[in-house]
Amino acid sequence: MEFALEAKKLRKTFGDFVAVDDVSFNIPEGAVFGLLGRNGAGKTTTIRMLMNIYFPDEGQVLLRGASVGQEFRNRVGYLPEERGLYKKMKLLEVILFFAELKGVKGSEVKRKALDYLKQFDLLDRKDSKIEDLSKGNQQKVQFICTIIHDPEFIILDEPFSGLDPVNTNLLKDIILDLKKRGKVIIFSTHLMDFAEKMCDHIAIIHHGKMIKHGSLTELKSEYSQKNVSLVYEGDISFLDDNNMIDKIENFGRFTGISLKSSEDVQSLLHLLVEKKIVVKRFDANDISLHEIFINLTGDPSEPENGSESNVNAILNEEIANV
Amino acid sequence: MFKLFSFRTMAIIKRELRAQVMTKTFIFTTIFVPVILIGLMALQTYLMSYKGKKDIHVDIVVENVQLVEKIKTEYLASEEFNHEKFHVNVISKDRDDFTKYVEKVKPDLLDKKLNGVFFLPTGEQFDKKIEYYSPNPKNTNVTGKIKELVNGVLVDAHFSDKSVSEEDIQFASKRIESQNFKISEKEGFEKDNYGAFILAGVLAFMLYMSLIMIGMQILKAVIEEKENRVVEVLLSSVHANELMSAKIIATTCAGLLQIIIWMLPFIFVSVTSLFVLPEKLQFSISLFQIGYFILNYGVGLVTFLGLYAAVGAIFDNMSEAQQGAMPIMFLILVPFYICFTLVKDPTNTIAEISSMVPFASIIVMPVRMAVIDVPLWEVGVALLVNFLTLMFVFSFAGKIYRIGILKSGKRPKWKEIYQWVRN
Repeated sequence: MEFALEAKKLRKTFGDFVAVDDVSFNIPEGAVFGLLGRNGAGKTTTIRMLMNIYFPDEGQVLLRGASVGQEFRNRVGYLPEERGLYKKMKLLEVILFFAELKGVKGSEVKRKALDYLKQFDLLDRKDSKIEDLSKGNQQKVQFICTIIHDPEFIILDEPFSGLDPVNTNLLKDIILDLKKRGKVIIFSTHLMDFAEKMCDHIAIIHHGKMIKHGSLTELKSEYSQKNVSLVYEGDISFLDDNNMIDKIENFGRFTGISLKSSEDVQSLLHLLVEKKIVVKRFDANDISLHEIFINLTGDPSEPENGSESNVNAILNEEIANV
Repeated sequence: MFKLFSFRTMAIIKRELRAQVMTKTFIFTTIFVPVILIGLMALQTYLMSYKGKKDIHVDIVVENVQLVEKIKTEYLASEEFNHEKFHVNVISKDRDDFTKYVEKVKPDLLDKKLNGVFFLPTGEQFDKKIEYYSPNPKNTNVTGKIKELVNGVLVDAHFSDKSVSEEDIQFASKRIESQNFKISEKEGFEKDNYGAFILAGVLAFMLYMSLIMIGMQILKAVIEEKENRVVEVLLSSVHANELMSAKIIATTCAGLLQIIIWMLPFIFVSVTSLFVLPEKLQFSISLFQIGYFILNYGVGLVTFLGLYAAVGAIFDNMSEAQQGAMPIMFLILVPFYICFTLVKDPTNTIAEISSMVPFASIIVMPVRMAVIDVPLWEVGVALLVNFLTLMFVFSFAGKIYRIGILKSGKRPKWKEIYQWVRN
């Protein structure tokens, strides 16, 4: 099977720091691909290598079987995590400039730019300077710049940050429309909800290494066999020291239970009934991407900036000070 | 491999030109800086030649009564004096009476109704001695003119009873007029004057100013792109070296446009006879020289902008970058100071060598060329050195730029930067 884009054994170091090590994945034609990982996992470095901004120390990136180069750059639209626009330029000017960089210019692209501005409710601001726009509106302009030249590949790094729910929906609809038109969409994100709803293929990077990749359905079925989603009433603390339980993640009303073996699912249900727990929902083949991600990357000994464990550590310190 | 002229680089060049040229700062510096410079020079000339608006009154007291009429006649005939403003009263008194006279006019002198009193203690023999009594005896504007006036009268009087012709007297009283001729490989001799020095000074100053100003401009542009993360989006479309080259080409074009506008007065003076400068200020500048200046400037600008772009890529903010750009400032400042040595001795060895040394050549050679006739082979060597420097700077600045431009956060150590260049 020929893939649209293939990353083969990518490695990138900066001095002594290994940013990406032995990362390989394939992106099929027409896929919505999610590159997932915690902050600093190596997502941006991988994306930069995909676009040939960084040259890998080892490995290669193939575009439909051939090495990537300028040809790929011409066919890609990239939305970086941090907004990158010329603040002193006017909206329409900046969109037309980024289109021209991809070799697209003329009245046709101008008409398209005006259409997009109208769609994003920015037509009356077309002559405003970028610096006069709100963060959310700048994000919308950045997105228009990403797709104005009708790219075959669209790379979106945290595309929804800074957008209100209405604009998030609008952006989501446009992305789904692009998917329908056969575009390859690559998401880089740590928001698992969006990834789960929009991606059909994912790759999880942790500490620069690829720890999982493949279709989301396959991945979920692989992990769901040992997982149970439980909605209940009663006290289930007796499960804490039970031998068949690997891990319990309690979200209050809803609990995710990871079993040591898939054969223990029936035993667990039996035990709950025996202990007179009111079982409202027992889903034996379900696991969220969030849970898979936490299972694979959540290492309590290495708190991530802003992560729950980090927040807890800060809170504990505050309490100790009081 | 990147292409120097693709639709991508053209798009960047167009945007950069629009962003750099269509600004108030550019228009101000291009048009108003020369106007301000010329204005300052004119102000300085005016202040130097300022004679004051007040009338000047001086008395000339002579012991020898015969001189009274002669001085009066000479004064009225002289074109050196503005007779409406400069009033000379000539009287005759002996030494004792003169002392009393000075005592008498002292209140007028102190009230500035009278600027000063000259005394010519000349008996039968005309001694060339003069005394000046004034609250402000150092006023050369007054003493210089009177001394010259009296000198002519004394020479005339001295020879009047001798059998010397009028022509001989005129010859004797005339001062030596010096005229220097510049020997060059051209046919014939040219009259030498201060024009070449003024041209050299203006050139050195323009090169120095524009290299620093335009250098700072590209430094700011690179840092801005790095700060607002535009560079990441740009690099998803263009190669880093394409981006750097396009930025430098655009900034060089803007710089060239500026220097051509600044050179326009010189080009006019050199190719037309519409403007006639005073003889002392005339300069000769050939189209070959103008051509070299512009080519040299272009090459120099690209070289220095390459350095500035690399420094901009290393740092995250303008103040750190300005510190980082200090070594480049020295590369511009030292040759600028070497240019001053040309005023004292245009053929000095330091200037000769530095006009063919990388970086220094860009500033020193055109200034040398304005002052003396530089052998053609030296011009050739300078050009070759400049081109080789340009190639060298571009190869290593490109490597630093490509990696540095995407770095943010901690400032890289020099060791790391060395590694970027090596890889």
